[in-house]
Amino acid sequence: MTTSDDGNRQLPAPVQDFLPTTFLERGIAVPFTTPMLAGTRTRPGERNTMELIVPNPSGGRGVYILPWDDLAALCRPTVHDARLTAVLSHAQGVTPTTIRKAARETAAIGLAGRAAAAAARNADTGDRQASLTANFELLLALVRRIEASDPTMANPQNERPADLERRARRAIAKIAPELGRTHESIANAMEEIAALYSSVGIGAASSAGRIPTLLARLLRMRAELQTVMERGSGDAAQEADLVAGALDLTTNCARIVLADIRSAAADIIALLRRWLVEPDALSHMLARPEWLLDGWDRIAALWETAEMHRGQEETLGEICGLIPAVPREIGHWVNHQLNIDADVQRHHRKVILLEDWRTGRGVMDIIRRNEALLEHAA
Amino acid sequence: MSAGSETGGMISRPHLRSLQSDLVGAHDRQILKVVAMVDKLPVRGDADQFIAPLRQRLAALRPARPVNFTRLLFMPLDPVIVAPANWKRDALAVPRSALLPLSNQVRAALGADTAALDLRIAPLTSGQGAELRAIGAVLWPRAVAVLSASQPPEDWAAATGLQSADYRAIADHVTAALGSSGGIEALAWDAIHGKQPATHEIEALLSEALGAGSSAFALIAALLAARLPHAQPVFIAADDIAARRGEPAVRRAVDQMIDTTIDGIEERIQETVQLSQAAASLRGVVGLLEDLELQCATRPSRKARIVQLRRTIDATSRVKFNEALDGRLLNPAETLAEADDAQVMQLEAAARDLRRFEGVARRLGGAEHYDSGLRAAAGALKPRDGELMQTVIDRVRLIEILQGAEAAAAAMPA
Repeated sequence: MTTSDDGNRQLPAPVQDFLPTTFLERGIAVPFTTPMLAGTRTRPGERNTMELIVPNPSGGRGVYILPWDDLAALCRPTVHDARLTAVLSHAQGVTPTTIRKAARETAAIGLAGRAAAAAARNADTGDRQASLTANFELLLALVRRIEASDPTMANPQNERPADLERRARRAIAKIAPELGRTHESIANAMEEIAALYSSVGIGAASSAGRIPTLLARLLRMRAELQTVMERGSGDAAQEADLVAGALDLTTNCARIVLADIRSAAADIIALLRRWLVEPDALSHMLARPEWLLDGWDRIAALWETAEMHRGQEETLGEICGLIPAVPREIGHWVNHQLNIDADVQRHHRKVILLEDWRTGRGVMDIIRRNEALLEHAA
Repeated sequence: MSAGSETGGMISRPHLRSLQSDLVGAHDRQILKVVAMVDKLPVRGDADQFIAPLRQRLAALRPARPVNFTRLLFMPLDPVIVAPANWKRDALAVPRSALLPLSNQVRAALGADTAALDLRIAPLTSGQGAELRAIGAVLWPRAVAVLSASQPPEDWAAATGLQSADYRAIADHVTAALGSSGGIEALAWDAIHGKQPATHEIEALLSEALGAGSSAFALIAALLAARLPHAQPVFIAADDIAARRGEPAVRRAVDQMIDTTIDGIEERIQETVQLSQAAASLRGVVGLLEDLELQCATRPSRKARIVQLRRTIDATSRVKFNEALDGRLLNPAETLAEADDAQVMQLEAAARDLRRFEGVARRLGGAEHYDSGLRAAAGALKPRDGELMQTVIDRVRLIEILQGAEAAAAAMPA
């Protein structure tokens, strides 16, 4: 942002074709409630700063890329957003996880309303539960694997927790020397892996994680969009077509990266070994669905609650403005199964053609609607 | 509840009075539940008397209520149905007292078919517009056929207090409106869904109505002006048709349509509307008023009437705003510290309703009145020393809704 001769701060020129090549460059969606900040993303800037990528507030093409400190100069944020900004300024690193943590922490105070606060608290509880479940599933897998050669052992799933814990300790004791680690470090590794698997689900709970649940919501939305596309012509059908195309691309990629993650867990010993040898590489792979689907939870919430606000067809235009660009980095993740280039190019072309949507509703009503989205995308 | 009360039959006087007194102090939700029960009674009997003291509150709550044959039959005429005392001979209006006798005539003529229609209507409520329109599409043309050739029923004068000669004029209004209801409903439906009716579509409907006489033309124009979000295209289309025809009767019909529209506004502003609907209702009235101002700019007498109407609505709106600010927000907020989630959300909803309402009302003037009201309310809601953080946050949010983020940030304790 520059300062003019009369002392007023001026926006820089918008970046016309924002086509990021990596997910980090695309930034992470920030669940602001201020209408003018709809679709805003954040990413690391230069010298340990954070940047905002704000869709052109005029509804025209392009995005503004600003230092985070310039947010207040761009618009008057809601009290919720001002607090979220303050919380994020202390965040360590910019990932979907850190943004979600800050967003929940802010919503839990109640600044987006009591319902959003309850949703944030429930989501936190749900994540903790998911982590425990993932740990349980990993222990089951390890016990089954270690005791596979002993047909006299009862199915560990039917054991009482104390008995399962005893069998798990025995399995860890057996495998630790083989992996060249202590019992404690293997137990810790199991917990760390469980935390990473909690969002994608594992074993019997593989469909219950946050990511598979979001994927199921997006697939349901895709089916409903088909009805809109078949029903009509005009803006709604064209917009539904654009959203459906982006959803197809994103959900196909998500299924592939999820399959990779599940396949990595098929052999528990290999998974442990991989974690001990290259933890960063494994955690990056396990974080892919989060990066890929970042921003889509808000879109799903927008679609699912549309009938309570403006109606689904009327909401499509707004959704079009929120569709996350798909970076070329996706090619490295899925190219072994999908030739992604043509799809990404087609998607980019459509987004550019159909970029300028903004609604004309009252600011207060949009803030309320945005707060309601926090209840569905915590 | 006794067997008598279940059938709407006998309730002793003291028992009735005691029940009424309980009900007057009941919450809105409880009242809606009781009214829904009363509405379901096959014979209402004492039940009507039981809810009589609640009529005013009920009007403010405006619940989705069951629809019956008569209500559906006259649904397309809603904007021109007036209280019997407000009905004037030669006006484009239908007195409420005429609805039942006319409806009875239609029911009698439809014979056995009425039972099937009653069955379809029975499960519906006033909120189910699409379903009601679908049944109306069957009922309305048949009612036109019946009432076009009907004679006044024997009990007409006794039931309505009107003369026999009034019957034909009223029945003609009804048949004209029901005859065009398909076209009006289609244009209104498009408008609700964001498609503004094309001038030629409005003109086609009005020209068709003119075939049935200038009175029908005026009535359909008045109904369209009331149903569409913007009346101006209807006024223009009616003017164009009158100019092309060059007939004094058609010109007079346009005048009559304008007078009816103004009468309609006067009728509407007397209605009690709940706060959540107040902004939408006022937006419709203000929009009509603005369209009328444009239309009547060159007619001093009518312009003066509209100016007076604007002043009245402005004054009424200010009073309504002040009452709602105190009654729906500030008074209940006195116990904010003890409020549960639902009560806090109700207060926030009331604050948003007030903002929506004043947003429309300030188009009539009085911006300073609303600004100072909101400022004072925000001041009264400021966090108090020693309050729990949850209550402080609730207060800050109410201030944010009323006055914006800057005022809320200023009210937030460090």
